[in-house]
Amino acid sequence: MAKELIRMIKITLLLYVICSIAYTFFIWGIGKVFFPFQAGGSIIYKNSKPIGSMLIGEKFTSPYIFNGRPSYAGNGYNGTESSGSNYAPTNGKYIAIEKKLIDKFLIENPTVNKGNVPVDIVTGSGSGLGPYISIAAALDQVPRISKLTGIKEKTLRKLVVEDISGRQFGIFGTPGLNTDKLNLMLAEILKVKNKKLFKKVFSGLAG
Amino acid sequence: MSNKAYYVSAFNKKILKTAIIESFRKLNPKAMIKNPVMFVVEIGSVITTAILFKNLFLHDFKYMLFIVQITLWLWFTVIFANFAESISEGRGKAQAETLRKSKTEVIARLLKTDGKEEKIKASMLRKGDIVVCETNDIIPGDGDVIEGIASVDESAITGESAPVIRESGGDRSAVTGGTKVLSDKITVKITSNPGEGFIDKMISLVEGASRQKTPNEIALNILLVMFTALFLVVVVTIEPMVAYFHGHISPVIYVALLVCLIPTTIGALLSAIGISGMDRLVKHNVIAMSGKAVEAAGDVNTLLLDKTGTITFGNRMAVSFIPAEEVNVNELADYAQLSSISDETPEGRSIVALAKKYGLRGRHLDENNIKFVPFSAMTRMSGVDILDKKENIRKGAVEAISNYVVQNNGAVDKKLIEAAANISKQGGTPLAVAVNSRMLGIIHLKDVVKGGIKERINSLRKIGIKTIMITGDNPLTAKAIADEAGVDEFVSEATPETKMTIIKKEQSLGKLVAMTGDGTNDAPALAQADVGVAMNTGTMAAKEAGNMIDLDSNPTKLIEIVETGKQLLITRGSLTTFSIANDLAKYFAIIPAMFAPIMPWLAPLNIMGLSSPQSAILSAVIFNAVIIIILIPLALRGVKYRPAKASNILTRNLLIYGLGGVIAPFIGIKLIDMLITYLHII
Amino acid sequence: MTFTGILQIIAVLLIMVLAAVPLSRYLAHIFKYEPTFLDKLINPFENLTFRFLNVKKEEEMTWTTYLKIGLVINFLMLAVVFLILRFQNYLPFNQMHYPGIPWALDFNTAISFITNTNWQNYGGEEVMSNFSQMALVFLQFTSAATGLVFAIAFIRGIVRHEAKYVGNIYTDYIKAIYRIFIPLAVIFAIIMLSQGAPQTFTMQKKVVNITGTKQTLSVGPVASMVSIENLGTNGGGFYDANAAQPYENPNPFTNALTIFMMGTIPIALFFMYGIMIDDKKHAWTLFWVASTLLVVCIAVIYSQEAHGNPFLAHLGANIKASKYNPGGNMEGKQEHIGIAQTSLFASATTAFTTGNVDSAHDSFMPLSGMILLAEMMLNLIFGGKGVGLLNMLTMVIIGVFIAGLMVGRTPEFLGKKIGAKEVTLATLAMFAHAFIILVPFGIALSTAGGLAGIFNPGPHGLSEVLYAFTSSVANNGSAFAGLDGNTVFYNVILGFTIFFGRYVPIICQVAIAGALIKKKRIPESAGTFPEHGFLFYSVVLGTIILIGALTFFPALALGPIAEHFAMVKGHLFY
Repeated sequence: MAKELIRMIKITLLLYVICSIAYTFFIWGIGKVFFPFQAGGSIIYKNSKPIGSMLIGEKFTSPYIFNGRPSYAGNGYNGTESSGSNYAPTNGKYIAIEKKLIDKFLIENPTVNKGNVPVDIVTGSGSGLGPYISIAAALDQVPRISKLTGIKEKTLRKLVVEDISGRQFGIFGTPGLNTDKLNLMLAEILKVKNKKLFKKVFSGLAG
Repeated sequence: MSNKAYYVSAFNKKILKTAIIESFRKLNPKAMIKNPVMFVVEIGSVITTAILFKNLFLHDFKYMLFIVQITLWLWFTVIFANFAESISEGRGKAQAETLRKSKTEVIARLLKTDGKEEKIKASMLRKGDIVVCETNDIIPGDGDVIEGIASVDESAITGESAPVIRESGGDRSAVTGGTKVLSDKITVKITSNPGEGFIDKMISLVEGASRQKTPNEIALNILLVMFTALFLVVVVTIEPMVAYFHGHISPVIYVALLVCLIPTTIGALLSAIGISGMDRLVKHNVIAMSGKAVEAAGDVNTLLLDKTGTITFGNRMAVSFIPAEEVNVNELADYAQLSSISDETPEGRSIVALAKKYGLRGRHLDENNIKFVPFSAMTRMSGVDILDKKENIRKGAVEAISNYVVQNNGAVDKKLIEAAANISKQGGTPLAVAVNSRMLGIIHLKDVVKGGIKERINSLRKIGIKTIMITGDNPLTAKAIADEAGVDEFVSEATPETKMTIIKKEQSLGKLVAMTGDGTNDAPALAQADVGVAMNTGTMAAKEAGNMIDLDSNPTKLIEIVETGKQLLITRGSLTTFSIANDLAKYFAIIPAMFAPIMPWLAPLNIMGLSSPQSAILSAVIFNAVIIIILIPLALRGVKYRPAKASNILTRNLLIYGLGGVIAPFIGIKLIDMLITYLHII
Repeated sequence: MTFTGILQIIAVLLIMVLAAVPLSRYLAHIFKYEPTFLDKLINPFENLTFRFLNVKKEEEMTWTTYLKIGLVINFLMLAVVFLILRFQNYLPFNQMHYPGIPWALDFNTAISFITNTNWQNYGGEEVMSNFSQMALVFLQFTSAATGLVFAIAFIRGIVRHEAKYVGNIYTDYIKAIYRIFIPLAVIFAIIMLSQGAPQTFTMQKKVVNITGTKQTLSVGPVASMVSIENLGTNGGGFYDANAAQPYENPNPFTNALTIFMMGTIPIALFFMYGIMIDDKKHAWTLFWVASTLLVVCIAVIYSQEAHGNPFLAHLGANIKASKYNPGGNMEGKQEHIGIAQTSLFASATTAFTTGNVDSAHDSFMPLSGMILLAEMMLNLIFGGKGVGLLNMLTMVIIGVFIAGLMVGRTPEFLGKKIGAKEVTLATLAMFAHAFIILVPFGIALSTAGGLAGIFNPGPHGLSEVLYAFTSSVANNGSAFAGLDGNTVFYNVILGFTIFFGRYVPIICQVAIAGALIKKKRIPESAGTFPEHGFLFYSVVLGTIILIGALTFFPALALGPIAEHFAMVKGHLFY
């Protein structure tokens, strides 16, 4: 029995070392050598300062830029507290929140008719960190941004269309726009068009 | 079918009356607990009854009509279940009664060691005592004939009025206590003590007193208990959910739901199915020593069939006449018949019968004009001399007749000898017929396969049972019969040990084997076989080794036994499926009804459109009770069984009892609801 | 529902089945101890291990020894991880100085991971050091192997007859880890890494977004966890939101890949079973049973989610799908992954009892929620590592017993007679599953501690609690995450339900193997119950649906079904 117990302890410890330590370090090594960018969290730098990850959504609430979806990760897009809203579709409180969100969107974007608010722009993503919005949600914001920034609607619409992430391999997923990327592009345009506004809105890039 | 002396119909008045009384007597919890499913129903009934009285006491009459009716129907459910069991037992009890009558106290003539006789009561006899029985004596106990031969009336146990021969030595030496000697005198050595005899055993078997649950029944019972426990948990955990919504549901409704969900239908009928399965065997005049044997019969993969008696009649019969070249077949038939007129053996009779087909009627001969020549082992022939015509007609073995013809200065027809050899080769027996010096031709005698046996064996094959024919014949004869009967395999030149070898070989392949036997030789094989059917005419040793006894001593019955075993299992499975499938509809009746006060949105689940929550619940409970009564005849009779491939049988039963079990209660509950609404009783 | 949506679902399912076929052959070779193409690479390690453990590979064990050793090893591993989490503040890779995990949460988490459940009452990035996350990875390997080896013992119980031994657990265990889980985990970890899953020992990175907002990003050894988490049908993600967190699941392709990782081995196990028992037709029939259920579940979820929330439509949102607008119920879903793949993911994670989520299940439509619950209640739609197959076979035994009687023979399961013992054990496993879900569920609803955690009002709140217990007993791990489970009450009660939900059925099932292995095998004939083909399919499917429905109908009626009909009537809950 004691012999058996020793064997059982040995297999436990052995597998711990292999599956926990050795395995993790092996993959880490591969990341270090072959995929250093991804392994570090796909973080991009502007002016040699880290501005975020293209994979993780950022909190875009200013009316001058493309807004993302509502986020329930912490106070919104908190990278250390991923979470969805977890509201049930029949929760009265949820529907009240939705009413506010939809009404707000309709007020901010008066060109959009009631009944036509893209459903994704008023609902939270599963983690509260998803950077994507639908094409409709992006296009619907174009008149507002154009009005506030003075950038031509046509330019903005072109920006949106060029930035669409299509279906992967032509099949997987739903087409949409990465707001991180979209707003970065918008920043480039605004930087040329209206430096002052650029500095105000994109303070992270200006410094 | 012979008249069954003690087989009783289930639905005679006396049995019904006893059964009704018994149904109430069985309400005793001590008896109920043996059937856990129904015991739960009884507890439920007690609870609702208590609530009923509490409400009466508190003058709370709000739901009185509803509670009263639910309570009544719950009690009915228990009583119906008891009734099902009682009525199946009742039949056995009535049969036992008839058997007991044959057990009146008998005076035995004990033969003492000094050769003197002493008259004592049969109940004083002990194993090893020797008794004498003469004409009109009742044999005082089970035993073996050690001296003499007698014809015995065994109708008391077999229901067969034709007497049977019992003689010392050999395989027909066993006699049963309670049977009556019709002629001659025998000396019998008693082999059982009083109260342990064959009739006693039979009484306790048909009465169900020694009934033990069979392996499948035990397994099924466990399944039912587990389902009951499961539904108990399901129903009990509804309460906290209801409390979560700040609702309240009366315990009466919980009990109603529980009773509707637990498998009451099969729970109520399970023992009735088992008892009536044994009973159906009794109807075939077969006594099973245990329910286990009946079940094993359903599982049999291989049947060992003795050729003689099972597949063939056991007697050779004339099938054709082969005349010599210049002889007309009618002439041969004529003489063959003449030669056999006094021949009372089955062969002789079959020759007369065959000759009749050639237009020859039985004839009356002047007795003074003829002289019969009986068969003797010396001459190996028999015949008749017609004195006025000086015709000496002889019939016998080909060799003997050839010699006879030669002695009378005749010549032997080579072609006939060849024909005779051919018949032998095909497994038949040739008999030659001669008149004086002329050999007229050959009679072809053959072991004749019983009518319909081929179909039976085919249907056995269809249900996956292999048949093996056992015979002592030479391989040629055996093959001929085997082909004709269509058995799957045969073993020729078998010795008494052959059966044992075959059984062991089949069993080592994981198969279950059934066989019949009667001789003492067969005893070890009967014991080894999974189903060993001993012939009642057989020896005591054989009867004790087997686990079934065929009172008619008809080995073909093995097939019926297998079918009865299968039918028993099918009935259980079908009613279990039906019972569980029923639950779906009951949910749809009760769930929207019981949750209506807290979750009115569930109304769309009331797909039957039942008129009110109360009538919905009551209808389900009534359906649940009434279905038991409706299915009693089916439980007693057994589900229809026709030999077919397993998949065909399954498809049929799944459609009727599975799909039917899902659909039937939807219709039934709706109809009851309509009736309740029409009568305004809620 | 859109055409491309349906196409995506079909494509993923088809690829999984196609990959499962060759994989099943490889698996069968391993457990029949036959040569495989990886022998040259792995044999040296394996032999070294056996020498180190002092195990003779061919020395076989009875089912009781096999089971006992398996359970003790499980306990030892549980202890190791419990201690690591409890004292993570003294251990390396904890730059954020997270304190040791409180005992109740630790108890829950350690049990949850050793049982392949991966129910998480914590957000990984918020409380776990990287060293602790790595320790959980260890259990993700071993718990998957545990389920698998018990299934193998069960299969041997069917294959062998008039025998005593079910195999050597050390051999099976090491082979499962060395030859299946490690190679696959490495391959898929590298793919996930290439797609963007981080693999670093840093815990957090601080950035300033383009709008000037400060953002902290949680990183760590994610890629290595994501692969085994799904391959082992564990489901315990690195992050609170699991695969909804983009680092765990960066794009639609990785989403499909995750589904592939979850499903392919469980499907292959069905085929492997067919190869090992030498009755592929039988195994394929069971495959079709599970597939039918899976497809129906996906169809219901997809149609419900694509249809969307009528309340939002009423308020002015556009829930109809069009070229530019995703439509449907987008609450808790990732836009780029889309409704179709999310529906497939949700169905897969509950079918394969993984528990990894790429969306908030709590925000699903009521009937979708019901389907998710049903999949876990059945726990046999391919199921987790080995366990799904075991549950399926348990249900087959019950079905065959009832229906088998109807052909007029003592019921047989693959030539072995089913007697009282097998029926007792099989029904006990079935009963235990229901009992351990419903009774603690009832307790939670009747106690303040249980009610306190409920997030959403009305029937949905009931569903949240039901989901928690169903998920733990099914060893799934996904949640209606609104429920606050990180309380002493839920940590303890769920810890126990997870524990019993895992081991009671497994003990019953291995005991069935022990009973079956002793039996003779009866040859098939025209009179035996056909264990393949449409008829058998109907019997098994009917049994599963009937027993499942009868057991859980009241709870589902008061939860998701009531919620659905209330929603149809336009009723909200407060």
